Amino acid sequence: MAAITQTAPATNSFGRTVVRHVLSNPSLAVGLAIIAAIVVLAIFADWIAPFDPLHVDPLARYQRPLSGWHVLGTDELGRDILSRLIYGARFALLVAILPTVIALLIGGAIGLSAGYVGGLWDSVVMRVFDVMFAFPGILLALGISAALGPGLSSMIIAMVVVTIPAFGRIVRGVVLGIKEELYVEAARTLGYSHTRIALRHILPNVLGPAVVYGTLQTGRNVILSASLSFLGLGPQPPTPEWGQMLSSGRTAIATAAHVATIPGLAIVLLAVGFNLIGDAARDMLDPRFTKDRS
Amino acid sequence: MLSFIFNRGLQIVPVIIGVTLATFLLAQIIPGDPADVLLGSMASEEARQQLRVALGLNEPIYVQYAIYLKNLLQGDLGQSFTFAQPVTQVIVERLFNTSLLAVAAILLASVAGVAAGTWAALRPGSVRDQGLSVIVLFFNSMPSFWLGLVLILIFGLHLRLLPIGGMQDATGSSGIGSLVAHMALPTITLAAWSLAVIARMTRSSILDVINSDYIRTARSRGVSEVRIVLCHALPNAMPSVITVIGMQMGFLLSGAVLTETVFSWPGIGLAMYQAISTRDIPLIQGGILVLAVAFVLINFAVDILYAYFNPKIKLG
Amino acid sequence: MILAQSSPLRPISANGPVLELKNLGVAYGRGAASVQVVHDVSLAVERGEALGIVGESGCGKSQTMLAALGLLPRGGRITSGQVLLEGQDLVGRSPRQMRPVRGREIALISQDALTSLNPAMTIGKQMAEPMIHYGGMSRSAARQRCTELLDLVGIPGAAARLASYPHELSGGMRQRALIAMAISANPKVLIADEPTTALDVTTQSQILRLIDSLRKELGMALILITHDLGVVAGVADRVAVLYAGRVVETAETETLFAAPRHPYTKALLDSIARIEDDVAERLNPIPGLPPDPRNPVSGCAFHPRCEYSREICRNALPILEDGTGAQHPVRCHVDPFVSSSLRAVGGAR
Repeated sequence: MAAITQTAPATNSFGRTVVRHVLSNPSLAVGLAIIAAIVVLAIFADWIAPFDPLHVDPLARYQRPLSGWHVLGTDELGRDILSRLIYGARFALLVAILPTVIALLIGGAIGLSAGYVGGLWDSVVMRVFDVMFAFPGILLALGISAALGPGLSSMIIAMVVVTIPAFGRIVRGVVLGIKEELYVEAARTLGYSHTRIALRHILPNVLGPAVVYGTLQTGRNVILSASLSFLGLGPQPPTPEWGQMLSSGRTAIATAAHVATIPGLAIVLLAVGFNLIGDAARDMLDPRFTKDRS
Repeated sequence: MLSFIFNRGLQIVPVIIGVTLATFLLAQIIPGDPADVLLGSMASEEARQQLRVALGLNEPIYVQYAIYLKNLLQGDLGQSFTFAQPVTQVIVERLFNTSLLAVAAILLASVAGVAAGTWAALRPGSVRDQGLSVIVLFFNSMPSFWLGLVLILIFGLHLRLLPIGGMQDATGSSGIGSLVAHMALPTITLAAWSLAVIARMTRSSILDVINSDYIRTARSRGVSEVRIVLCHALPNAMPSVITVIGMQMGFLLSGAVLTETVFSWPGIGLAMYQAISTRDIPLIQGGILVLAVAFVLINFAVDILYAYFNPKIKLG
Repeated sequence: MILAQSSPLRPISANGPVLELKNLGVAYGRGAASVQVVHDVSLAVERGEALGIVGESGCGKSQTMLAALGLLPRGGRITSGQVLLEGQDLVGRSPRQMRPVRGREIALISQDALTSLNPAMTIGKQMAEPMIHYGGMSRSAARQRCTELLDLVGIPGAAARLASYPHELSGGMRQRALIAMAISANPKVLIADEPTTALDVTTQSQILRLIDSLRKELGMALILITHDLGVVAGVADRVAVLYAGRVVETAETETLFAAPRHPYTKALLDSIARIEDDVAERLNPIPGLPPDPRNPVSGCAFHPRCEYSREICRNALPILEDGTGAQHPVRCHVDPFVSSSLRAVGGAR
């Protein structure tokens, strides 16, 4: 997310450098534009949305897109799909970004301490991570979500839990790599406390890889949250949540395909946006990938 | 090689024990009285009390885990109230269908992914290479259930080429043709994400090794560029590609829940989806446990394959 | 000897050099970021002759030879000059047109045999590949031929070694296998790029003797690239010394050793003597470092490290000239080892 805030045209030359960098990388620019547009929709949903997203109109069910007042048509209860999408952007951004940030903080702290302290704590953490990695894909999130009971908060908890190990492992790896480097040694001999060494010397080095992985994970979280919602584990109806909209529109796929396909397109668009930013962030950190593309 | 297999086999034992502990703990995080959830809200107080005693819910937690493990070793995963059957039976009946779909999808994803990645790596930076990276981006940004719906819409409803679900029997008794037709869309849906990841990995691994000295040696002996990529770079890129394929098996097993739901494919995933709406926790627990153990075993097999492709490990 | 018979297509008495580089330039990158790593290098090697190319690492030796084979890594390109193989210019040929040249006309032995052999292929398979796919040989004939070749380079139990993977062989054996691969198509020119750096001292001399005897037996021209003048001493007929991407001196090997004209050559020769005293000195035989091609040095590129350096050396690039007419051109303003008057100037500095 740092990349997004940096694009605001700053008066200093740093801002100009960032803007030039963004413009010279078309896929990053497209990604930022997509996300910025969705953020604007989410923030100003109250002004932008043409209808009340929850307003049920039994006489206007399954209206086709561009067929009347409803630009993207209406759903099985006659609700305006465009308005639901616009309000749904709030949930979509929330469940993509919030679990990433929380998992980054918790996983980062665990990885940092495991890598720095080592010993028994490190091996316990790594064994637990090993077990969590043994659960394929969304299964563990599905289980946690289902056990806690469907809803927005249990979905976020589930997403955080299953993404913590990846952040932890990345941060731990970086910490192990730099721990023994000379400048840490030097700082240690000067009598600084462990906390100070960890914060002053290791944290800045860990930040880059963790944030890059975070942007990549944000894209994946779009899919993960949509999948959990689709399975009925997310915010419950009538909340305008994209995955849930797709799920409830699915029954009418033969007669009113737009009710399910349009929310899906929105999910794809959001994921493309985050993935473009994530790829660009990774390329910036690891030039090896960009060299391949030349 | 045998000792390698043995040592690696020993390493997965604690992981599997950890997996059973984690699935056990899933039932512990249920808010409120687990007996309510496990039996459904319709159960009588008497039945609840019986279940508490049977599961040892009144015992300390480690005793409960011991009971869970003991039942597990006897093949008892509890009772599914959705299906009114033992969970083990529900899963065993559907295991074949899920495996069939997962195997078909991983084959499609591996073959097509490696082919596409190699094809792009032959001309890095070309139109075909950039085209591939756009396709990879979209496949990686597409929820599989949405892709499934779109495929149903196009091939099932508009073109009427393929059936869109309703597969009842995967044993092939209604003919191989019908089976393949029923499998086509779910397989493509399930494979898409992994295909993209495998293609991307293949491409970048080939480009990683293409600057190696031995590639230069082969070039200096007049070996053609196609042979260089196919016979020299690709085999050396395979270990990292195989690792990714192994990891994709996990996504395929869990993706089965979504794909089976979209296509009403009678597998473990569909049963788990049905269990979600009824909060049939024992079935969800059992499904997760079986799929996770399958994933661990598959990765074990992948490690052996990895060693096979890497002569240094095989003989070391 | 089966291997020594020349192919019928090869002209028996072609005059002139078999391989000649004329004013070759190599650069990496484009536009403002372009870095010139080889400048205006002219070299020639006669049929059956052994030419040594000497210089510190990074002086452009390998880049020159990779350019000749059209094997520059991505980003590298030939900016000027010609590569003449028996009078035919190879520069600008497509990869498809270059393929028949590689291996059959000009072959390459790379420096690190461990990384230069494909780790995922058996020795036999990678040796036989061009024979089967481009030489029209049957599998069994190729196998037969590979066994002969491994025999020829002195690998014991050759037939059994065909099934080995590179990591199963010792360093010396790997280098021998790489040599066997290079000579498998009877090339006219063999380029050996630091063929002994990765080896221990005893193996080094064995490998050098092997390359030399193969050259004589097969009638190949040899281009031996090395940073170590000691290596060329027993093998090369002539030596070209490269510094910062330019030829600074060329002479018959004996002449060069007996009467070097360029201060850089002299310093390299001194470093051999020092190696005999103390192996550790080898890492940095001459004080200072060769210039980074990204920051070219004005005038004579050697002047910052040269004890004879004068004003003119900083300002003007010396040309490669054969002042004495003894087939011994040198690129130096000062030439302290020939002209006593100039030596006096240098000494008075």
